[in-house]
Amino acid sequence: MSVSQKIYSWDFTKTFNIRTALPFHGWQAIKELMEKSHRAILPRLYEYQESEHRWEKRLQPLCGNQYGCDWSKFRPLRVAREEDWSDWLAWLLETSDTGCLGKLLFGQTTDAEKDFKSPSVHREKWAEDRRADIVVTWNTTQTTHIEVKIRDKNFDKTFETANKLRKTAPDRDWHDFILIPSELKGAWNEVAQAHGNEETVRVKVILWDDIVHGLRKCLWNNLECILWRAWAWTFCSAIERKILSLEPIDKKRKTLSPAEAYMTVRWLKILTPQIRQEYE
Amino acid sequence: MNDELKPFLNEGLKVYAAAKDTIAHFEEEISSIVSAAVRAREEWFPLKKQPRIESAEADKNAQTYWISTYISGLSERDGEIKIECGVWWKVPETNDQPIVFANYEKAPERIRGFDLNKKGLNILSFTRDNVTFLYLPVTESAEIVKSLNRVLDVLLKQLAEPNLQ
Repeated sequence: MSVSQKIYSWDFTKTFNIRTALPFHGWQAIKELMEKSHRAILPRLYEYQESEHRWEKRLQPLCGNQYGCDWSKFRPLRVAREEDWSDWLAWLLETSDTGCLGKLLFGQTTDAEKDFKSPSVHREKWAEDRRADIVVTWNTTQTTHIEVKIRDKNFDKTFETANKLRKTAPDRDWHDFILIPSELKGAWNEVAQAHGNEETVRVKVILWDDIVHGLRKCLWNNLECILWRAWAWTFCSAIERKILSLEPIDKKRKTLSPAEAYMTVRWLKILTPQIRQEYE
Repeated sequence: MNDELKPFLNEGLKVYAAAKDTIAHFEEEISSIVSAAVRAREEWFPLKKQPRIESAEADKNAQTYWISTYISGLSERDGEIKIECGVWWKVPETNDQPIVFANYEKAPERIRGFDLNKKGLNILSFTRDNVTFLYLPVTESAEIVKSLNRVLDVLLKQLAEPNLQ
C-alpha cells in the first residue's frame, strides 16, 4: 500500500464502523501493556549490556565509547551546521581505501567494493543557479548526488538541482539521494509525491541510521586505516548523540523506565547487526 | 468538562509519557521482528538481484496503524518492483483484526491488482484502489515471521506466473 492509498483513499468509508472508531476512554489496557513491557525489557537490557561491552572492547584502539564527549564544544564539527556534517561525510567517502562505506550506502549488491574506493568528491558543486551538497564520481560510470539534511525541510529544490546536475555531465549515470533523519521521512514523502509525476529523476531516501550502520560495519570489521577509523568513530558517535538522539544507558541498571526501555531497543538495533553477522 | 472525562484526563496526565514510551518500545520490537524476517529471507525469485531492504517503521493515519518495510528489486520482465510488507492494525476489510500483509507498492498495474487464485493456498486477500493485499490474521508475535514469509512467497509467485502476462 503506497502512502497515497493509506493517506488519501476514501475507500475506508465503505466499511467504516463507528463502534471501532470511538475514542479510547480507559487506561487499564495500557497499564497492563506497560507492565509487560517492563518485564520484557530485562533480557533485552542484558543483551544491550553485552553488546555494548563487545563494542567497547572492539573499539579499544579508538578509545572505546565516546558517550562523555561534549559535542557542543567540538568545533571541528559545529553540530548546528549542515555544511559541517556534509564536509565530514564527504571526507570519509573520498578517503575510503576499501569502498566499503560507499558501496553499503549507495551501491547495489552486484556492484564491486573496489568501484567505490577513493572516489572524486565535490562539495557544494554548482549546477547553474543551484548548489548540490555532495557529488561523488565513482570509478565507474556512476555519479551520486547527495543532499544532506539534519533539520530543515527545504526539500523542494532537490529535484531541480538533480536535473541541473545532469546537464553538467550528461554522459554519467546519475543517482540521487537525500540524507535525512527518520522523523523527516513523512515531510519528504509529501514533497516527493508532489514531484512524482512531473520529474524524471528519482531521489532515494537514505537515513542517518543507515550512515551509522555503514560506519559501524566498517569499524567492527577494522576496515580502513586507523586515521579513517578514528574520524569515522567520532562522526558516528556524534550522529548517534546529536541526530539520532540516542542516550547511553547506565551499565549498572537492573531495571528500566519505559523511556529507557525504548532507548535500549533503539540501541540494540544499532549495536547488534554487525555482531550477529560475525557469529552466525 | 463532563464528569466522566475528568478521571480519564487525570489518570492520563499521570501515565501519558510512560504510555507513549511503552508504545514506542512495542513499535521498535515489532519493527525489529519484521526487518529481521525480511532480511533473513534468501529466496527472492523472480527478482533479479538481492533486493534493497529498508528498515521497518511504524506509521499511521487517521484510520489505521502499520509497521512495515519496503523491498525494492528488479524483475527481468517487469522492471522496477517495490513490495511493502509488515503488520497492519484496524483494517476494515479484515474486520479490524491485526494482520500480516504484503502487496506490490510499485509494479505494472496487472501485477499490483492481480487476482489471487486462493485454491489450496490458505492465504487471504482484499483489493483496495486496484491493489491486491495478501494477508494472514496474526494474534501471536511468534507467528509474524512465518506469516510474512508465506505472504511473500505467494506475492512473489505472481511475478513469476506466466498466466499474468
